[in-house]
Amino acid sequence: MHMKRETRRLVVYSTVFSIASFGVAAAMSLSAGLFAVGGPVGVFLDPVINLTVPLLLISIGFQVINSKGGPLLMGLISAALFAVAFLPFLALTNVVVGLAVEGSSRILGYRGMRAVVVNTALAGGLEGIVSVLLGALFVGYLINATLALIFTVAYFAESSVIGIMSQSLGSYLLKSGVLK
Amino acid sequence: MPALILISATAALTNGVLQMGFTALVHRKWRVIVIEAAVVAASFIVLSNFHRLYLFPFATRIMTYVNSYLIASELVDRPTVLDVFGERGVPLVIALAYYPTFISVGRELIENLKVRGLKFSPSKVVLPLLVFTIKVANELEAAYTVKLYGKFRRTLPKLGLWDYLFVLSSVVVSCLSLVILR
Repeated sequence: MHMKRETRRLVVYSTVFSIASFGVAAAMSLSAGLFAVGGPVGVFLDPVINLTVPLLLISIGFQVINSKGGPLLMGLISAALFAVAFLPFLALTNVVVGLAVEGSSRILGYRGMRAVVVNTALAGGLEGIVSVLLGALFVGYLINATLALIFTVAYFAESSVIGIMSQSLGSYLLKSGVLK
Repeated sequence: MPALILISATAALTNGVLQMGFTALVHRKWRVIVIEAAVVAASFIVLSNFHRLYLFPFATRIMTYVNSYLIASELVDRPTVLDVFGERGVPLVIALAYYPTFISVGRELIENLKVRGLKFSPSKVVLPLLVFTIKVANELEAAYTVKLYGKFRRTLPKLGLWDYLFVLSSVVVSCLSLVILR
């Protein structure tokens, strides 16, 4: 790996956090078995699990990396991981999420209450609803519009709560000197 | 390793129950096997109720991949990987070490909680794991900067005709599976 120091840091950190998040997400959704639950409500349930600890890890990854290109790179690496696991709709979703958060973080920054909550809510909410829509296209479900609206609000609310948690964890890490 | 890749490839072709069973019997982690069996049974019941049984191979296939990874992380000799591939093998070694490391750290955490008589709470588990993750990233970066794994570049071993045929056949198999699923 012959890279500049900054690039190397970016690549290593985003790989570690993306893989950790992917591993937790895979373990949680496999043990819950929700990916198999079909039906009009069931298709919305998988993101509810994915937006807990995995999203927390992703959000803390943004704070740890704290530089331009981080969210985009994390999105791309997660996308590659999901593509390897034969989940194309989640791969596409992660590219979309990476691009969106890259945009929002350019404006708001990476640390601090407002930035963390907005970034996390954007990441989680988009991941939830886009993955459901693309998954429906991929599998061939028809989606109930009212339910989709309700669950979009739920995803954004859930990921805002995760954002607040991530902010408190991140500030603890900063205060204790683990993060620089 | 090639055998594992071949098994995973054939799992993509058939309904994958046999491969899943075989790989599960190789690693013999009974807790994992029980969970896997429960998940597969649940997905079979749900999918057959919703008349979407053609999605069932996805479940068994994922389980086969999980099993193969568990086997590989346990059985593959990491120094040999470094020996054959040189510094190109470093990411592979890290990937193989990922799961065992996190499991051992998790065990230590829970043991410490028990010994100190503390109650189990999510924040007490998440925070140490988080610090550990950041430390891993930190140390990996340091290792890549000063090349702690040694400075050994290798030219990859020359592949013969049969090796190419083998690789080609596995690629064909995985592509065929996508075609058949359509």
